[in-house]
Amino acid sequence: MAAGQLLCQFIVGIGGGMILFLMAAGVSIIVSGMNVINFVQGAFFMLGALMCYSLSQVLNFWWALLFGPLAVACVGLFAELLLRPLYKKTMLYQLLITMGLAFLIIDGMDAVWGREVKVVALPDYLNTTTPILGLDFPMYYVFIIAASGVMAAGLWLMFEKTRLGMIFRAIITNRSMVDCLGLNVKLLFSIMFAFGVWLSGIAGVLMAPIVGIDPEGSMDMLFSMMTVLVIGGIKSMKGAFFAALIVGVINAFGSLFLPWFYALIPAALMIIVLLIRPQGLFGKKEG
Amino acid sequence: MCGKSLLAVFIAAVMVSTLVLCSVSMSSGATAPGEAIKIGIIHSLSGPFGMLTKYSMPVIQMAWDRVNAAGGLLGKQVQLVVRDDQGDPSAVAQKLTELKGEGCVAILGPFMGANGRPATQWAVANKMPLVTYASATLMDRVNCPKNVFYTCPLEDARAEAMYRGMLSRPIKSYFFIGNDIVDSHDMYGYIANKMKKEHPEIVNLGDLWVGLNVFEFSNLISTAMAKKPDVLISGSAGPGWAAFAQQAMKFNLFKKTRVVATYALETAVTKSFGKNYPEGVETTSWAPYWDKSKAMQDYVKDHLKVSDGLYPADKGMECYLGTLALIAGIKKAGSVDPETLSAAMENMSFDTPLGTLHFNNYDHQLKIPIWWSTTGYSKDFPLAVGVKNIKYGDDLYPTKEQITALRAASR
Repeated sequence: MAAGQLLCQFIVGIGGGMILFLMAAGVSIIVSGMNVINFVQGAFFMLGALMCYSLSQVLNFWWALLFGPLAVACVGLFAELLLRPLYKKTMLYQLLITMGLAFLIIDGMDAVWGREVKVVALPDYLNTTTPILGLDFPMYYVFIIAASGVMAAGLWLMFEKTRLGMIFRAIITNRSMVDCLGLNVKLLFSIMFAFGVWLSGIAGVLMAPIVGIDPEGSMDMLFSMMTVLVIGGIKSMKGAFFAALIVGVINAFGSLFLPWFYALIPAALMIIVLLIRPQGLFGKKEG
Repeated sequence: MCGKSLLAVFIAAVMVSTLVLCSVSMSSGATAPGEAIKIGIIHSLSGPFGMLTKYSMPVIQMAWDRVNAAGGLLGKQVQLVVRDDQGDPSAVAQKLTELKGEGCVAILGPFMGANGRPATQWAVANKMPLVTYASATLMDRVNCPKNVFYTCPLEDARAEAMYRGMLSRPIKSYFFIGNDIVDSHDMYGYIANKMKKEHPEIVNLGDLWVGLNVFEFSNLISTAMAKKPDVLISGSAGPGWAAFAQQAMKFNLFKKTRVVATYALETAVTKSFGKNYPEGVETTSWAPYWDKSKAMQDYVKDHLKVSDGLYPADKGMECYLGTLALIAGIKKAGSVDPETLSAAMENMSFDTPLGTLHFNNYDHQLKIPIWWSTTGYSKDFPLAVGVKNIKYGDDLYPTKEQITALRAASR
């Protein structure tokens, strides 16, 4: 196997991993800060893809990248209002209600956009290939990696260097103390939820030109997100980042060297981590 | 009478009347004189391939509307009763039972391949004539039920067309990528086994599968390109194929590798690409709306009219052929009695947009010709069409001797 081909496979894996990170990061923020496992995130991802499809027909891909996730975040804000009673409920309630909301959104997407095949056109300069070690590599995947990398860096900066990030970290560490300090925790929860949904929306928009846009695929996306979170640690953003890259790269090389096992790779990784380190690679043991 | 006795009598009366109503609704479906003839349609109106409904239901409705406009069948108007199986095999039997309960005398459908077997089993158990366009393999024909007829090209025939199409140019190797559904596995199995037997010098470089609702193919495409096959076979259809095509175009796959696929000229997919569909993909087709024959062009005009401007699709053609078959069968039989109708449909020929087609009595398979087409553009159509076409006919299908031998071997 030529070095160029291995590098191509590696880059494809990194690209896939970065998208997984964006999706999983949104869930991780919501779980860490609000203690709510948001099973609607897969539906929000698909909603982002559909927004990209609609907006790119009227405007262009770049406006879709800007406004699509914002539109999804608005829907997320509305969803958060419905989910407020869950904050103090057990995980079973959260599971049931968020799954129910997911199916509602999926059916809504079906009703609004229909089941026809949807194709998103890209600008010509993204719809080309770039030579890497003698092989033509899709420019769009390079763009995905760059955009996701910028997002990841932006997330780190936001959490570490901004006041909002500091408040988010405080909520994650000790919610009650933040409440006692007089900050409006309800408003902060809404912002946190919308932010997490916005990340999924961005992932959806980035993937729309290459993935099949089908509302029924939302649950498969959710499974991918959950796999990354279980491997990395549900409440760990750093864990989500590294786990996403690990899953992406292993998936990519798995298709090359273990084709008979390819479909099972994510589940196998999850099982191995659960057996060895149940809290995830970067998660902390609770209790 | 005391309260408890009254309650007991009331409950007994409710139970008895419920049983009576159930037995009436589950009756064999004979209609009272003067009533309409009810034809049941089980279809995937929702689910993974629900998007193909608008390519199939309008032409089914059109065919029956024409029958009713001409006076109906056997002196009665025809009423369609439709049930949605949602693309779920486990829902098929229940929906068919509902159709029987509504008084349907024959069933059209189901639509999806995986739903074909439960439907066939139900039809055999309930002795209901069934004209199905769910794809099926040769082994499904081995114990060919008397009352079941097939208007989807046999899986093996489609795979045979693809096999011949692949070998129309010299190749040394091939690779397969597909969604994990029955049709794709059957197709791949047929091609791989036949290639191994007849052309062992042609190397099978491997196969990769993803789930039905998984549309991320970049890893697989990159892997396939690393293996450098002469031919890449895609076993995806509908949204899966659209996703594959989008991703493959990013890798310039269609310019570098010969790609063959099934349903790649399905208009539900080509329409969404407009003028940006990949050219040079070789695929099977049995709704070649670019064909200049009068029968086909008349069908295209009708299709455009009833489906709000959509061009015909392969699956829609299967449904239309099934409808024409059932109409011709009832006319020929002069009855909706299951045995008479089934006997009439064996060895029956009837006119279709693809020419005069016929059922054989030994396998009840409609001998649908299959075109091996190469995607491209023509100034006459706003979406991708087959620009180079080879038409395969009856010789794609197994012979009577082959079916008989298989039947004998299975006993």
